[in-house]
Amino acid sequence: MSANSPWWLSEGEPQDRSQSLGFDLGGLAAGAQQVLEWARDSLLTTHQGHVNPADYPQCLMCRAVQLFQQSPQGQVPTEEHDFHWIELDPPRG
Amino acid sequence: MELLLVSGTGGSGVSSVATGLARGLRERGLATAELSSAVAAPVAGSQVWAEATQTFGVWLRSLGTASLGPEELLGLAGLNELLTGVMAAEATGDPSIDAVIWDMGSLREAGRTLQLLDSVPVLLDRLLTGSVADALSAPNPAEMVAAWYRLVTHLAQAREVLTRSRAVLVGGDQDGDRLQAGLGMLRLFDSTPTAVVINRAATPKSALRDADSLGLPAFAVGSRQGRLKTGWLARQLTGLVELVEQLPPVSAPAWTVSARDGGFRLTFPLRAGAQVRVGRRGDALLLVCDGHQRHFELPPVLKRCLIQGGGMRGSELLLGFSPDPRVWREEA
Repeated sequence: MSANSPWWLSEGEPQDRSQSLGFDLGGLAAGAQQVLEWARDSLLTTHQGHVNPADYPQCLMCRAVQLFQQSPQGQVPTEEHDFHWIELDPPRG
Repeated sequence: MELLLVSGTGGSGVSSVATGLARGLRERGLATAELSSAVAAPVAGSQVWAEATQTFGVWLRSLGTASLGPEELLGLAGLNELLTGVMAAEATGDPSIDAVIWDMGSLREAGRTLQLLDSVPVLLDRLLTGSVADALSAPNPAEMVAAWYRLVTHLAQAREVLTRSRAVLVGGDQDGDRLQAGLGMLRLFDSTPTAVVINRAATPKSALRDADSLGLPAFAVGSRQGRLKTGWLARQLTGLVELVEQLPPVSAPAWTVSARDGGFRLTFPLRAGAQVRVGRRGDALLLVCDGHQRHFELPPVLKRCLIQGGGMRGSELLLGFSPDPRVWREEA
């Protein structure tokens, strides 16, 4: 192990997150939560009465069902990622 | 106030403390719900049970195999914990309930339950969106998608509520090391350790001094001869009840992302001395702390980054990320 701390372990004040990232992470999280709540409140309850998905193009669930039906042989495109372990530095402090 | 998990070393009186705490809160006028992983959840009549059997039934039929009837799945390992998690999420979202106390049993049992609630939604997602999905020829895709979506939503809600939970650790006089390990496990799953109760302490003052190393408010309950009475225990826990009553809600997980040196640093609080491993697959990390493992979906900004390295500093896991040049455009 080198005597110098790598930057991810080094001390010191981090830069201001909101300025550096160009957006507000807190706002982003709140937005995501709102989307989740909207999905929970509206999607699940309204979709239940939709018998024919083609009749409800505004319903996200019906669109998902249609996509599933239209894809060749019912296949869902996926992107496979390999799993790998990260080599960690010895514990400090 | 939100969800409060109670767990501790085996045989230290976790359930008694959970019951005493609930009674103390009720005596202060708070509508308090109590859940226990050790008590069988009302499986057969629950909505999530119907969704689970429907999802797996359709999925198995899609693969051309015989479905499983609900009666064949009863007693499946982990099922009770999953359903209790869903019930905890429902109770926490109920506006008529002020506090939800979940007696999770021993730290070993709590770790198993939290890992299950973390892993099962990921597994369900893989089953229907991964390469296995290619083999499906669902006779009724709408039925499958709808049942799957409802089931995953229920479990994801349970997992999400846990990330805003607080935890009370319970142990005996000599349980400092095991409680430290529990601290790391709870933080791994984003629960916020809030207090420690040293139960049946032979010498309460000395027990409290020993609990100092945990860095949490500590409360000692002495031994009592004869049958334990909940009212007596509730009085012993008055300080803890007052603390719990005054706590603000947990608004965000304890992990943070900060920008530094042209990259980003993920800081994840665990515990000093924890045995930690970290793996990555695509947009998710596998975090392993003292044998417990959690799937951690990276925040959006880190999904577009490569991991440069990391390690433990004190009680925190620090991971360094740098922008992936393949997906970040050069600044003008």
